[in-house]
Amino acid sequence: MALSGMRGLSVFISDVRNCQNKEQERLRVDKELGNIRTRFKNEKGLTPYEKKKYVWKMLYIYMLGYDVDFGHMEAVSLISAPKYPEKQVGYIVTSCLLNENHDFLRLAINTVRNDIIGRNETFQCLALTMVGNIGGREFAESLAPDVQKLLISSSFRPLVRKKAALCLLRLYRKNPDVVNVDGWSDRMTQLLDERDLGVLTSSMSLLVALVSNYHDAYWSCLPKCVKILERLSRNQDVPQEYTYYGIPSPWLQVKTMRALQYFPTIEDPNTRRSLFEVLQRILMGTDVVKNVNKNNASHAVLFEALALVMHLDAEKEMMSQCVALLGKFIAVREPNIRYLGLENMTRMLMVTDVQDIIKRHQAQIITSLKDPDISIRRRALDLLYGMCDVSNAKDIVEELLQYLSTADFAMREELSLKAAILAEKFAPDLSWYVDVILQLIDKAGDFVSDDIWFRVVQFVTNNEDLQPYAAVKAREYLDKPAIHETMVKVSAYILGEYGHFLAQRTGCSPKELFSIIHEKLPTVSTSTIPILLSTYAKILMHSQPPDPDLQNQIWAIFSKYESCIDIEIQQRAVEYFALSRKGAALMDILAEMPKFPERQSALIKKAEDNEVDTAEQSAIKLRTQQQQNSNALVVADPQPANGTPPVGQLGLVKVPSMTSTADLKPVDQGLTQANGTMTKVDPYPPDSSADLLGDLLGPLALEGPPSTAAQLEQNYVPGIDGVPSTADALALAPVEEPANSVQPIGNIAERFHALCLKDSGVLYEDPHIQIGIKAEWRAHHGRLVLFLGNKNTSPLVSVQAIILPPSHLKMELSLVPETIPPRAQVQCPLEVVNLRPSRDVAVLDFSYKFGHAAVNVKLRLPAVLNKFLQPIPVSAEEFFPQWKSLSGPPLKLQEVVRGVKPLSLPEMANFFTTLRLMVCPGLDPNQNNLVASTTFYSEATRAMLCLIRIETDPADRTQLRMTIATGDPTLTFELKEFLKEHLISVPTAPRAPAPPPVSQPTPPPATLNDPGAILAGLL
Amino acid sequence: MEVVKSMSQKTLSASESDIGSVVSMVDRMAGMMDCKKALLESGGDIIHFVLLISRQGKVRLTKWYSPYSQKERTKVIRELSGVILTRGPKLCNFVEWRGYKIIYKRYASLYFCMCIDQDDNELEVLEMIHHYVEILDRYFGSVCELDLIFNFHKAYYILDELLLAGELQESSKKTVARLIAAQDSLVETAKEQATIISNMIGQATK
Repeated sequence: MALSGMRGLSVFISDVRNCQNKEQERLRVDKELGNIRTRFKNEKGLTPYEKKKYVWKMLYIYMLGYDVDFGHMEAVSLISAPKYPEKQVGYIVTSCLLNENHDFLRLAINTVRNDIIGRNETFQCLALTMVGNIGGREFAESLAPDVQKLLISSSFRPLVRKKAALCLLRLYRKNPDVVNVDGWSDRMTQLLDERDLGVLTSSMSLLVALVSNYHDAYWSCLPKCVKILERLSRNQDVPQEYTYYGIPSPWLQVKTMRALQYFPTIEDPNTRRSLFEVLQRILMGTDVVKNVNKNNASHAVLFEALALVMHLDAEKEMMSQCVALLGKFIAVREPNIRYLGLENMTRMLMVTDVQDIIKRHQAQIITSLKDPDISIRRRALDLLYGMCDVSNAKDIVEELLQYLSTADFAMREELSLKAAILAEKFAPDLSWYVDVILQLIDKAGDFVSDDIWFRVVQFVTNNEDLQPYAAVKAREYLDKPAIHETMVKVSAYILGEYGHFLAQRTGCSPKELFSIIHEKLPTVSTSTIPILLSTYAKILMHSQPPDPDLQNQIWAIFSKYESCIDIEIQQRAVEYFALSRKGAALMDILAEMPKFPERQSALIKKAEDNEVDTAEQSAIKLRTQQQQNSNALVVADPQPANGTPPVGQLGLVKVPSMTSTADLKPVDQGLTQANGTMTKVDPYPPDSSADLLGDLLGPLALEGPPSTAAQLEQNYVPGIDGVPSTADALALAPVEEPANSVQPIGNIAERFHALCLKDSGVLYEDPHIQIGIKAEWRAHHGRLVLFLGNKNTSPLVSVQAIILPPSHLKMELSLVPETIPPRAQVQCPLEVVNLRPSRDVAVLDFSYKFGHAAVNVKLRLPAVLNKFLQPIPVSAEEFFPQWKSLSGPPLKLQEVVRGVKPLSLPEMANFFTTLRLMVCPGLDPNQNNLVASTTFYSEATRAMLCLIRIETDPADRTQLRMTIATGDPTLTFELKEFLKEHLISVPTAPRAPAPPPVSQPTPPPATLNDPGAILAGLL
Repeated sequence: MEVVKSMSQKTLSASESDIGSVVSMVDRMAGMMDCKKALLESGGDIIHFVLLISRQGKVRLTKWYSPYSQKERTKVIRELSGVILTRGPKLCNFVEWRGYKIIYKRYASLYFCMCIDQDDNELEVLEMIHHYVEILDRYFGSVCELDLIFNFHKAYYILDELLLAGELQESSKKTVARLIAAQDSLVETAKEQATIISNMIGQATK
């Protein structure tokens, strides 16, 4: 038996292995942990050897899956051991047990640095390895220069330099600022001349990371990369030990080609020609061989070459070669190659002009859909989904439907969603679409989400020609023995609306429809019953001449449910019962649903939002990017209503239109207005992820609670919902500025104020874009990152972001791309330097175009005074002398502030903390007073201590006296004003001074009291 | 479409995986999981972690190059054991998992797994696994699971010479073998010295 070289450790491992069951193992492990714990407690008696042994045992126990919540310190302390064996163990175990965020690591930084700058090569290697594996931001800031020195100096041996390269890569990932772009690009170019292939491989990884962030500085590396590739592919000057199964370092080849993919294009014709020669050789010269490893290695290179060819937009001939190659791959037996063939073919769909060649392989791809390997099936599904268009939609969708009955559960939901989307996008005719969805529900009802049947209902409602057909189909499915509940829902809905079209057919009289639907009622859950009740009400209304028998039956059901425990059912039962006694009124209220507004398919949206499987997602994106011609049923809502949940309101009660009978008119207005308020104006939907059912039932709820049934005739609208409050209207009305036809979501001013108090969040949002902010502040420096996220499936163009900094801030915004690709997010770092104290606010002038809509907004940036504060505790001994020495104006200012938001003292203390003021309890003997301290940083003032004293009046919380003392008169004044604003301001009110006008929406006054005008404004 | 094409495919999909859903961005910004963060930061490809799991589901080695908390590590191991150990023979060596890819290969009773991003080169990583196994094999002389159980620390040493920062560090087997041998001899020398010293002390105090 192999031995570890440490007897105690081997014995322990054997013991654990000999345990009969988990319980025994736990006992043995617990015993050992107890032992280690006691030994560590009196550390003095431990020899380095013992310490080493216990630390290894801890790692072993940890690997077995037990919590090891002590002893980390011992592992870390071994790092500073003077001898190699202990040091080595300390480094390795630390990097296994801890992650970069662990506090103990900070303790080791100095030791690690000493090892790195020391002259002991083996120690250098150990330290570089640990930092490379788990080094975090702090390591990046304190070690990067030393690591760079090791990498570029030729006096160190390759074993140190290759580690230094990857260590630097890690530190760069943690903090890109550690590599100074200007100075580094030349060095990087030199590094590519490296003869040692180990160092070159590591340097290439570093280059990949650098160019992936910012390729512009590294153009000079490009020809070098091509040279390296040439050299490798010709196998010139490659030492034997760097060939892998006869292939010159496949990893270096892959890395080099990867680096090249980050350059947008290759301008120089000679370089381009050389590169294409290499690529051509790889594409044509890679043969399938017997040896698996050789095969894998050569194909790793081949697939990377394919990716590079696609990226470089090669001539059509070469592209066709690639597709042909992929076509060969998807038919081979080797599963890895088949998988990669399918995956890369999906990527290939992005390239124009080759879709038709790919379509030729459709049959083969469909075969892969039935592969025993789920990884391959997923790829096949993705590819089929991506390559589907009008010409082959019928085949592909029917194939998917067929596969659905045998597909494993893990894939059914994805499968049905994709089938539904394709059917919707590429339906050759609408009746086919209805067929597909009903089949979907029939075959995989459990996996058909509500969105799918909502969508089919929307289509049927919006297409009159389709209604009788859908009704016939729905009726047919009801004859089947055991049907899925979703099928009950959709058929009941459709038959309620359009069942009367079938009146002439046998088995389709209102009474018969009712009884066949009612048969299902005992089998369904409470969420379906409301739909059935609506259907009954509608059937009742459609039975002309009235059938007293049917009426009694249905009334009996309504009255049975009048006392149902489920509120929704109860309410419907009560209301339908009341309504159905009203005759003419019933006719109007229960009339057919009006058409739904066209909007983006909720399905596609859902598929896009589905973050779980990004592979699937990418295909969907790809799909939406292709924008192929089709008689697309999907019409993107050009101006989606703010915050409206994605699925249309499948309400069951028609909202009467403005033109209905005169006596109902006032009610109509109220209703429509209320409806409008509910669905469109509400800026803060309780949950924008759309409570679909709630939405479905939404309009109904407007009829009022059961207790108000008596009022129904006078007023359907509960007052609160009916009239939007002035404040709401102010915040919500469309922006008047003619350029902005797009309304922001949420209140811009509120978002700004929130961001003044925290460091990440949304700065601005509208239906097309979301601008998020994340900020870090250190002394007088700040780094904000703007996250520009395109919410659409088409690109945002002419994107422009201009920073208008106030005179006291130096701001530098990195390049903002002109176009944001569909559903992509762009990050733009913004560097801020605070020069002197001021309350002025920087403004971001942001504009973009989407379709014909040009949007321009001016947004205040939360780089405000308190961001440059750093709370600092002050003791009484420090405070009072300072307080006294700053004796009066202009260094110490006092003011009585009135009209303060009433806050209790703890609330105020909290508020101060969020403003980055450190409340110092106990300094002021008076309980009603509050003393706080902080440091302000700016280039002019450096670190400046600020002292604040607030005296409150317990009898009147709306006033207080504030005293501010700092060593700089401007700072004192600005800080005083700043605090005053924050204490007085109601978050929504725009602040008075400096900020330029933010496009504050103001509605025409008329809209406030004229519901008709509101409605017009909304539509 | 033009834009999409002019961007490299890599950057494009990187930005896609970053974004996922713009709408949920803020939540993620606030409470982003550590591993997500690692993804955002990582420029280019990176191996997020390496796992060695036995057929019985026992963990033989774990190495995390992206920051995962204790809880996440346990969860990942549990989930992946379920996914990978249940896969039949003759299937491909790639499994899609939570938006990542697991590249795995079984050698006798041991599964070697590495986790990479969606658009990384799968075969390249598969051969890194094999490269590692060959080096282990050379070091132990026909390696078996028991070697790796009792000498798990050696498996770590060797891995550290092969991968660093989630990237391949050395592709020459010879070089890795030479470095490991040098380490071993350093430890040996230190041990001998310690014995000599303790003998001397023993002699002196006799």
